[in-house]
Amino acid sequence: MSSCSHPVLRRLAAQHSPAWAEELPEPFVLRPDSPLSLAQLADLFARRLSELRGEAHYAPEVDDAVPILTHLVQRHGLTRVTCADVPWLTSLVHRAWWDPLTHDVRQADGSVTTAHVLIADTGTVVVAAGPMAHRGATALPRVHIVVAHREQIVYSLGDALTRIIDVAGNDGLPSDILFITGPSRTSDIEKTLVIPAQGPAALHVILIENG
Amino acid sequence: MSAEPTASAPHVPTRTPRDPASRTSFAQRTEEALLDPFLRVKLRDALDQALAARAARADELPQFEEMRRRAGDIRRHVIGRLAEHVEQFIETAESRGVRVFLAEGAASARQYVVDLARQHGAEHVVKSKSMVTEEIGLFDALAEAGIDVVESDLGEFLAKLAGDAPSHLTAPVVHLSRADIGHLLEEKLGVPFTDRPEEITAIVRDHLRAKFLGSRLGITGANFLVGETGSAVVIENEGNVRLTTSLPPVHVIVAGIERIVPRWADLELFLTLLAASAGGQRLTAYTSVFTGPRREHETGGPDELHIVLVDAGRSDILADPMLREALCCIRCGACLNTCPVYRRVGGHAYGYTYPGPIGQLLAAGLWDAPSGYELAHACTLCSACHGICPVGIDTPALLIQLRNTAIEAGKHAMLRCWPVRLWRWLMLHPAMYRFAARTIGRHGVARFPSLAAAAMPGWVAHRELPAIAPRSFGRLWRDTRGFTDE
Repeated sequence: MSSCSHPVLRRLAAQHSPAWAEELPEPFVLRPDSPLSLAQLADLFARRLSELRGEAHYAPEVDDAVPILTHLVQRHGLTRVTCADVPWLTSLVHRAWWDPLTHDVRQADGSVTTAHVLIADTGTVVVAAGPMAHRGATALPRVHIVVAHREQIVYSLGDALTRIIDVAGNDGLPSDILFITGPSRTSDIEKTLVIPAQGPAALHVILIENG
Repeated sequence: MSAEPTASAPHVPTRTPRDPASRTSFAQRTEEALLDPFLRVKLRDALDQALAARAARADELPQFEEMRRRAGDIRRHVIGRLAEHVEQFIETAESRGVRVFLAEGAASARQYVVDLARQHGAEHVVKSKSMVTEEIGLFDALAEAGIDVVESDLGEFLAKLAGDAPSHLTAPVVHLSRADIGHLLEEKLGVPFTDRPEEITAIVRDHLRAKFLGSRLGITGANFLVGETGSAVVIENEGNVRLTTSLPPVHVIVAGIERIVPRWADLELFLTLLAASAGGQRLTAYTSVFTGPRREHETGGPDELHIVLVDAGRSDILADPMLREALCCIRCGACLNTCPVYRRVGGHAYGYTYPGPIGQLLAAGLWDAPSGYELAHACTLCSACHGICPVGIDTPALLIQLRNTAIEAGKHAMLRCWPVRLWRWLMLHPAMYRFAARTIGRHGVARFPSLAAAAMPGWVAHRELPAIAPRSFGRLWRDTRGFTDE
């Protein structure tokens, strides 16, 4: 589109308002009163997530994630699980789950993914599009399980945004970055909270503390 | 803003309102809304909850006031040089592979999406909640083109099922009770009646699932467009935006041209404020950031991403030095929740896509000025909306200016009726005024109220005229002044 000649842009340009267009103020940054340790960040994240009716699970070592996964699969009665195509994650899931994994997110009732970054202050998991996971893996299955490392937790949304742009660069952002803050919900009917609405009914985050 | 001239030229009406409701007068629609005894109760309960949640979240953020000021400053900067920001966004988004269409009017925006659906042989399309698609009438345009449109947001789905427009920016069916909805589903979907929200939600979830799976086109709105990265940000709680954008091979985003935030780093402030103001959340359950179509190495996601930037009257608002401030709005709906008028009459009485205080401003700019003039009076000037607005839009001040403009344009019906004209004439002719006052004082005190009621039936329908004082003000003034002077 030759934007410079577009009538809308010409009209907008004619209405340029110097009185309003002073220097652009600096972005606003939310900071904690004092920096938090990794353990404090993990606790804050877990607390926020449980307030949203998600669940955080601690795994001291990578191997400890296996029994947690097994437990979750049984508890939710999962029969068809899809897993992000990341070697360390698939090997974990294979040890917890004996049937073959499915690649069809439409059919899956459970989904296991990694996370890009976690936000303690809001209890948020950030999942970015990549070769590893189908976009629908975070939306279609009934249960979403995230396996992440404690070092991936940052304090605020702003910290997460900084980390994402630092990793990807301004022009390297993936097509889809999803900030998940609790399982799918609605309050459309008389402001009554209902979980789930259209997306997953359960959100679990397994936090690996070492390694 | 002070250096700029005040708007004296009245707006030229460019479009007639799309909503059939607005063919009646605001007063008639209000009357209807007030006759529904349940509406006020439903609204009060729901809106009180939203306000309480918002207040609790604001208390949690020690810098909340500073955040609001900063957000207002950033938005005013963007609106002040909107052309540059829109151009930058288009350039960046296109470099990420987005096809951007800048739509001058609602019709061209509708046509673009309809053509796209046809081009891709989409027999049915899924759509998430978006006020701008309501504004331009996209649903009806697609339906008229023979394309099956599925609203995927629970509230929007229910509103469409009931044949209603959404009555709130963020809570489309706040005007319906759980029993209303239960009966609606029973009637339209043939399911057994239930008034339990979780059962209703599950029924709709199952109903919608199948629709997502076969759709070739997904339509969403956007809450923010990031100039620096060319990203479109969409927030939601249900996960329906995710379903709308994960499976169909084509994704269309329809957004107003004013939705731009300049920088990636601005998202923290605006997402936090929007989630807080709308419903007291730290963040909504899902915040999706879409930057270009699916990249080569990614799995899932659309092969094509289109962004339709809608002007449709926004550049007219920008040209109005007072109404311009309305473009700063981030559509949180908090002004509706707190407005004493909205809380009693609900969204449909306004008769336009955007109800409540912000809607009163947008109606004047997006549709036609006379309706804006009418709606400008649906305000008690209590300023609760100004106090709660995350970007500090001073709606009451703008409505007062809008009233003034209406009077200057001679569009105020009240001022043209004969009793007011007579009174005006008397006020301009002191001798005649004194004579009239004396005459009424001597002979007409008892008869005056019924006389006035006959002359101005609308005015006295909901007001009581005070009794005429035995001594006129002029008389009183002369007497008292004489007393105090000596």
